[in-house]
Amino acid sequence: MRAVLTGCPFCSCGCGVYLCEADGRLTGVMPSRGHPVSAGRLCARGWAAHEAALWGERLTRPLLRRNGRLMPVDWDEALAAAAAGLRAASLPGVLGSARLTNEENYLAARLARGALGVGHVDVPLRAGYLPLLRELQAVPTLRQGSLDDLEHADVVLVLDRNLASSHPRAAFAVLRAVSRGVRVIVVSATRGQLARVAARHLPVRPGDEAALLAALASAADGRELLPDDPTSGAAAWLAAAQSPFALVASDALAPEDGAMIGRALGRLAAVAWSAVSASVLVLPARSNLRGACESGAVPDAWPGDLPLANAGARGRLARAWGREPSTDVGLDAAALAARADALLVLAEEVPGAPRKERFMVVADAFATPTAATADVVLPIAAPAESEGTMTSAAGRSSPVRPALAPPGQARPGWRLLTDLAAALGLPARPASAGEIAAELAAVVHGAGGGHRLAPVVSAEATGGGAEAEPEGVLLAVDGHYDWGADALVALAPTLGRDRRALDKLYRSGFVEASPEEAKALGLRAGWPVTVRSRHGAATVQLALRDDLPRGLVLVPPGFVGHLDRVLGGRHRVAVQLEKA
Amino acid sequence: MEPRPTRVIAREQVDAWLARLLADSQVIAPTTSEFGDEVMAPVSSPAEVLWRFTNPLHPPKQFLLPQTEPLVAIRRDGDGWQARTLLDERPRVLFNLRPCDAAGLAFLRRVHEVEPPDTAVLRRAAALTVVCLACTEPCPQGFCICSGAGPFAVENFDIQLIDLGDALLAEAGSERGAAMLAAAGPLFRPATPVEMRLRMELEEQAKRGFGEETCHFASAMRRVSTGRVEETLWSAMADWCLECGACNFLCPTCYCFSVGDRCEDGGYLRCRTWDSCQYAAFTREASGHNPRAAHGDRVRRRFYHKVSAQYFQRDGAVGCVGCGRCVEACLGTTDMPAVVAALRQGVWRG
Repeated sequence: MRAVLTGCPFCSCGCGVYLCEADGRLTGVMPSRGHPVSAGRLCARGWAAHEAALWGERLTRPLLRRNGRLMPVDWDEALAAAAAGLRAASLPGVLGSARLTNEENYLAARLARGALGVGHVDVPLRAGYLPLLRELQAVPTLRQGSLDDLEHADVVLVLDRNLASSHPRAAFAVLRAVSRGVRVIVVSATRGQLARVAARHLPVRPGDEAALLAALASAADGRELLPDDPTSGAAAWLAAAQSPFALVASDALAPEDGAMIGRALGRLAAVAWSAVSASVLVLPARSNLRGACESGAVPDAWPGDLPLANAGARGRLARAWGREPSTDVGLDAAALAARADALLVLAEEVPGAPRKERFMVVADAFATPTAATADVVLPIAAPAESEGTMTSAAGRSSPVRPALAPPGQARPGWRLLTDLAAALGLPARPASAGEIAAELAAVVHGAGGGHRLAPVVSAEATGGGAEAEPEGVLLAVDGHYDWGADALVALAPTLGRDRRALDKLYRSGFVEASPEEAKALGLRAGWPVTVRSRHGAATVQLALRDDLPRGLVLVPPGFVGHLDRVLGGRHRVAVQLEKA
Repeated sequence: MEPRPTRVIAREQVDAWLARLLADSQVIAPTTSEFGDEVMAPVSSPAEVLWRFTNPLHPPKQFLLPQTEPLVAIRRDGDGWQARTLLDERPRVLFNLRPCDAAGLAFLRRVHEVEPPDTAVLRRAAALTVVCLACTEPCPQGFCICSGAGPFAVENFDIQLIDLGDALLAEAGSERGAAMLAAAGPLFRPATPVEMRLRMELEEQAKRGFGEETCHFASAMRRVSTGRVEETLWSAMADWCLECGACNFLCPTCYCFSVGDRCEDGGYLRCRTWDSCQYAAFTREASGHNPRAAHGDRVRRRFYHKVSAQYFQRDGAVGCVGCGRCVEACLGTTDMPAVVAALRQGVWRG
């Protein structure tokens, strides 16, 4: 039996987990008492970190679509086909992944900007997270905080959706802070677990987060202290804090709101915390999202999140790659999904419906729905078989170590990316994960810092602010990451059960409402309900949730497909509910 | 109680004894992983075995009930299928096991002996030799004294070692243990009266080390078993539990499992895997109905199983050996001592 300590592949808290291996198979996990973040604790997902690689349907051979069917081919043929398709495209794009290492995401950027000569590289989950992070990084008085810092703060402001399930290690830090007597203020739409134990819960309708933060800033500034306003007590705490901490679950917020909420929180910090030591921690939805962004897999920055105008970085990249990198600001992930005519997808699900006219290369460890639509499938290592580094929400870099070799003909992701870049004619060819890490460090090193806000060419308008009719019922997407569809969850026998049960129970979709809402409509749990907005209507089943206020109806991100007509491409919309 | 065969081995002879054990079977002992954690793992040389250590966080339960345990290999056989039962009877010596963990293994063995007996577990148990190391000082989170599982073991071992400083006292707790000591020949000698006295003093000293901090199972058991715990107490506790399942996975006496068929080489491998009664999916029925849908009901279920009189009578012990792992690993605050205190006092303080 061998046990290898590696980074937990699920959320972005940065925990460490031992993967145990015997006779070439994973057998389980162990917690690490000495790990600086997890310190012997793991959440349910961490305890199942071995499962997907062991139980899931793996990709073990390169596949090429012929006459509509994916057929096994050898690596040379698959790489040549992938390279030819990408080279022939007029608008090729590359999607990096929060599931991959920093080095692999750097190689994704190298492939786009170096080999293909385009700026079209992005990570699908970045849209709400990175603008928020950049706004906060621009506030000079805010420093990057860790979960340890959170426990030792005197006031903690949490922008929550359901941290207890999205980021359990962070939720644990909040619980510990509450039990230490820290003044914890939870801002969330629902009265969930943390809202119930916190000193204060500030209910907020999805989309109104920035407005609430602005109200808190004004109140903390002493301008609008209304004694009966529920925010005023919280604002007084925020104003009096000596070591405040703000924790933001970025997947709680609609992607289009990221920058606005970042600015609102930045203003609150400027008003209330200019003279104290204030910390902030933004939690990306998934494990290495921060690392992917900082390794260059974004359309508007070099590795290190350096501005594309940084000539020093460009020079270093040109030397490392043996070719001038593209300095173009590329399309973002949503725009690429909609418009690219060739797409290299790395261990991700492509947003939106598959498009027949698009040439698609998918590199993944697992037989995902996206891989099934590919023209070329390239099998790579699962996280349990990968080598490199990853970066936590708090910016801590930690090693990813392989517990075993990838199955069949699957290659390490970094190797596939260097091979494919070579097939596209890129001269330099790093020969190990360590060499790539060294190259990445050298490229970023010596940079002048400073963040810019180059405009990202966005997808055709999705979202936008809340619609009018604030008094009506609001239908909102509950969180912006669908863990149920995540390969590492869906393919894990223990973790995949919850989603499978929901799929079975609610074949035609569902919305969640409070028992009071249901009673007013004369409906019971499981009964059909028609949800109507100005965009359209759909009839789905009703599920009840005790922690919801009246006037708010939620749909989990994995079930929005049933409500497409109602949402009209938005993340929240005013609706009417009727007994079907 | 009959006096146990008790022998003594000089400290400098221990490696020679361990080398003999290593020659005969796999030896699993506390050792330092290459990443710096103290773990129970197979060792290949006596030098790897730790003698001063905090009890590893991952319990030796994994060597009796593996997290993923292949039970049946299902293979194509002509037009049909052939199923072959997989039994793991590899001899293993669990060395320097703490008394709490020895009690945990004995508990699991008893549970799996109940009709119908669980052959896979019992065969593996029969091939386990337990050489435990008595605790001469309490570990940071342990409360084994409250469950009668430590700091010195009274039963549940083949050999118990007691560190006397320059020598180790070895008590045989079974025929197998006595035979092992006999087989080691001149490496061991009879204990002197002075050494026997020192052993008793060490035990008393270790017990005193626990101080007043204890976990009062008896009064919690009375309340749980007679329905004197308010419903709201369980739901209040549930808000402080993040449903990680660590309390189950790390508990030396927990054994909940699921079974699944894993595709492998064109056939299937039926595996038993660890599961947690704290997961909503654990009791969810095929219809979607869940008898323990409320989180508080799942917390109640766990502690009812652990400390109720009904289970105490069935299992012969409370379902806790006082190792303190749940205190260390709980991703929340609902560890055993905290919950037992809340049950006794009728109040949850978070």
